[in-house]
Amino acid sequence: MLWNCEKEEGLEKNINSSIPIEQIKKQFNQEFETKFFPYLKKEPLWDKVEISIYQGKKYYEIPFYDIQKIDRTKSTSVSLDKIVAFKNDNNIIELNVIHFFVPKINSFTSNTLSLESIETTDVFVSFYDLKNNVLDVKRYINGKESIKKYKVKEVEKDINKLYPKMPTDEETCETITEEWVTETCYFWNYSDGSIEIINCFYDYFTKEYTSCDGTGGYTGETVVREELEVQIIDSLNNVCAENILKKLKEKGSDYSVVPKLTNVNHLSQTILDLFSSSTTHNLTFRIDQLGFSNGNRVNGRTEPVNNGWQITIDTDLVEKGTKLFIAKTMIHETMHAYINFNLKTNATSDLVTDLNSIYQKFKSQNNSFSLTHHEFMGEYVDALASSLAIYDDNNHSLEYYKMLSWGGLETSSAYQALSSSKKTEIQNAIINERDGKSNAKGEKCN
Amino acid sequence: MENQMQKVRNVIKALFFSLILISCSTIKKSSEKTDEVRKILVTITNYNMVYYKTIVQDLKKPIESYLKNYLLKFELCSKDIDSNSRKISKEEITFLKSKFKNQNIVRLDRLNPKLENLTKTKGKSKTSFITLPIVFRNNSMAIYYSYTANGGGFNLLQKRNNKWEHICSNTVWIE
Repeated sequence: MLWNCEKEEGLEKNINSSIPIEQIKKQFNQEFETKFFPYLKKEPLWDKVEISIYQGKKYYEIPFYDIQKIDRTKSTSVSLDKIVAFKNDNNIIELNVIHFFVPKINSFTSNTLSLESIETTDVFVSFYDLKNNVLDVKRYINGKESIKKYKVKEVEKDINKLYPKMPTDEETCETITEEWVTETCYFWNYSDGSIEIINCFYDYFTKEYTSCDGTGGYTGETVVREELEVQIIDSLNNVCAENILKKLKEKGSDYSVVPKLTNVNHLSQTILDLFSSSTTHNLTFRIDQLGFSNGNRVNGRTEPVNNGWQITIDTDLVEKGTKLFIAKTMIHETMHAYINFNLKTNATSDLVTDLNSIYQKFKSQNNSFSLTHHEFMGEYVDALASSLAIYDDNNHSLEYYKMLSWGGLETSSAYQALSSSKKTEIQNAIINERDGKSNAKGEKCN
Repeated sequence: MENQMQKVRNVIKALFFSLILISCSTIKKSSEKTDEVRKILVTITNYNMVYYKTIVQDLKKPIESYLKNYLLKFELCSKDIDSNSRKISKEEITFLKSKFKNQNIVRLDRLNPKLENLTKTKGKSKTSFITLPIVFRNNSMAIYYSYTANGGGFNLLQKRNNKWEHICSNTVWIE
């Protein structure tokens, strides 16, 4: 009797004791490693913290995505991951990952899914430690814990293996398959208020729950849709340059005069694609004095910064050069950022495969990185030129835009293969536009 | 009393010899590293026209200021390089920072008079400027910074079959 009183008192104490969210955040940052949970976001939604009382313990639950983002029209199930924090029997804060899987969406009408709400839901609840080891799997049917014992495992599905195979012993047991698709769509917000979806990426994850206390099977699919706005930071502080950037972002109205190109189209598309698989990468434009490097005037520079890339346009170029050449420089530098973005985030893409093959040629040279970039860009000079043509409303011949687009690509073998007279013509056009000379076809900023 | 004096003398002798041994080992290690640096410089100058003095800064900033985690991720590498070789750990970044910080401008022609492809002309587009390479990971890897007219960044080398080879490059800036 006394023991019971003590136990209840202990429970009460546990329920009442609170954990500051800042403390959970700190512990999360110290202990959580994304390598163990590649399918989860780097951080949960701290502002969506919920407190639940489950089996006499107080749990702080922080979801990794908003359950409202589940696309109910495409989903047959509901899946959700959360970080849970609680005080263990030794009064030490423990963090776990908890995974909820409601196999049939029809049985779930609520807007929340927590340890408290499982009492009224048909749901699998799996607990994981921070190294992704399964600690416990439970199934609740209509709020009651199932007597069946389930095992859960992640499944790597090889879509190439579509041939039928004989079921293993395990597959003759009851298997419930959970499929979870994250549809991440990136959009651009145009100045006229219209929105353009740029690209959608899909990440697929599968888990299987098996119990040999029965037979049968079911597959549920959850589709989570994330919409993310692309960020381009304009720190130019110069009206003329700002207008050039603004115009470069606009959709092209006439594509008929430019050749049909694959992979790279107009700059606006390129910039937007640049950020199409991450919210953590921004592209900042600024103006600064870049001076000379090895006796050559530097028109633009692209540098990696902590949260993306920074493009700097030379102050002298903005003051003396034509708008056309400033636009050309912005396109050139944006292409560098685009390539770097792909190298960083999309290692298996065709673009990166191409870059790696080019790199093998230059790897022993001190400027192998820039040689590789410029060699690659030399193959896309038509795309750079068409982007410039769209910016300039096709006021000049495509050939002229192409000549300007060779600027900065002089080390490429495509440029080197041009005739001496063509190279001279190109360099004259570049100098005219860069220095805003009287023979320039573009207008100056000032 | 005489016995005690003898004991003290023996301890002093032992300490003296230990110091000599430690000092010899340090000199040997240091000389090994210098030899490796000379070999690496031969590899670099075999493929590049290099300015005859080393650099300690680029874009008016000291090289060690570029030793940041996000600037030391090597994404362009030789095809046969595994992910561990190209990864620079936090401890290695700290080590490299202190090494780059302590570098002075040196004349490469004096460090190794046999080096070819050194130039005293700055303004040529093919001229590259380099720091002294730093050897790390038990003399199996080396890193140096270089810039040319079109860009600057770190270069990673690996010792394979007793030969130094460029294995990865990255960018700190690109024009």
